[in-house]
Amino acid sequence: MIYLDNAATSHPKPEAVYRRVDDVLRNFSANPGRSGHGMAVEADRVIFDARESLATLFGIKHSDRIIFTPNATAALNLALKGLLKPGDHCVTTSMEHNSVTRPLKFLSQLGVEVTKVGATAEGILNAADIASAIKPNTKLVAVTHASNVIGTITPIEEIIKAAHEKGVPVLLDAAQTAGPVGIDVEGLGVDLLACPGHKGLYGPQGTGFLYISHDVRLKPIIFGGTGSRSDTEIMPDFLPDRYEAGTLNTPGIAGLGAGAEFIMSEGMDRIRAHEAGLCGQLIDGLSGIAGIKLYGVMDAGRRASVVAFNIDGMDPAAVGDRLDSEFGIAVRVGIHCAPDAHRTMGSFPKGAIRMSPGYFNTPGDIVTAVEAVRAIAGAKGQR
Amino acid sequence: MSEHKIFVFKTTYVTFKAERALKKAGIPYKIVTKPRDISSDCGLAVRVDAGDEAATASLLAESGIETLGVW
Repeated sequence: MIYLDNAATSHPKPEAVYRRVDDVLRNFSANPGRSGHGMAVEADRVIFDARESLATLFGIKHSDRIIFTPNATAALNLALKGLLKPGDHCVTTSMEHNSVTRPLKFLSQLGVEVTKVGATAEGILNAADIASAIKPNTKLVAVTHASNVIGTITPIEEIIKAAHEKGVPVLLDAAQTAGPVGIDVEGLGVDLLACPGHKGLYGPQGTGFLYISHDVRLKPIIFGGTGSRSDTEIMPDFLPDRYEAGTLNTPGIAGLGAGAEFIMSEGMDRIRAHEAGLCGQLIDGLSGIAGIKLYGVMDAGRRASVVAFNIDGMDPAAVGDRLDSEFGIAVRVGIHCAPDAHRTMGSFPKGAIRMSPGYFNTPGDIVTAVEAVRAIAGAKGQR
Repeated sequence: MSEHKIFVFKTTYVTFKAERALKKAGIPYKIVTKPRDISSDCGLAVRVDAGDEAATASLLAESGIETLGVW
């Protein structure tokens, strides 16, 4: 099987991730922060070490600003629901995933005002458009670092600068970039960063985190036991406990930490260069096939590792089924939980086929994938 | 006179920050359960040899790690 669905969840994982999860689950899966016995202390240490590794990877000085969550969606929900109140205004974009769009829709029903700034059909967002959407009651700019459908990398440096000039914090959804694409969180001045653990950071599913800068204060959205301040009914005011009620996913977080360490030892630039090389090869190969419509910017250096396309006159779902059943190639088809992005690129409601190469794919995988698409596109009239 | 000194921190997170600093500096330590009569939000504490108290205190101060108290 050739796995080209890394934008949904990366597969396979580095060996060190499998080993770490197994080791922790087997030997240290006591409850962190709840007891003082040796195994619970070791579980605490596992969580602490993972937090520190992630902080190093993302240029975060104080790792207690990293809040573990079950996924990027939970991190985005915490940021959005923890910050925005009725009467507040949020600027977002037409490139967002439903993990941003849906909580904002819910909040808009409670009285939060939302403005969606458009992008070009290639998914390019303009910082000036975002800046001009900011109003006196704007409390947040929520923007993707790269769309999960089209992959175009957002000019975050300019957007953050423009938002900060107007005193507005920025929430960055790094679901498709965290790991291979460098994000110097404190250098860039990112206020809130939401990341999945199971994509480019190579952790298991059920992991993710939200970074919260010192300048932002959120309401907790989950309340419960933290193992601290247990004598009071009020959530602790210190991090990470304030936002981490309930037992953490210790084995998963350990695996996420191992994933972050893998990136640092392997070299982020090397991972990024390999993925961009595969994406470029895929774009070149697909553009040589008659009847293929490719979306997004053609420069692989300007996109996350996703390539969306359609074959004229064919249902993306049928193409995906044939890639899977006849060629053993795993892709994702449809609208990828991002209807606004498909509207922007002109592929709504049909959707598209998305191939997302990962670090463990090879140029040979891409050759096979391109030939499979060529066979399907060439044979379409015969079906 | 006690042979050990127990450093107590506000939270579990800070306790592990202290542990990491001690490990890096090569000062022998042990993570222990916090004595019951000491108030903090952390159930754990760091125990060092009494002779290392001054070195520990200055290391923690240099590292910006706040100590709630020493027993």
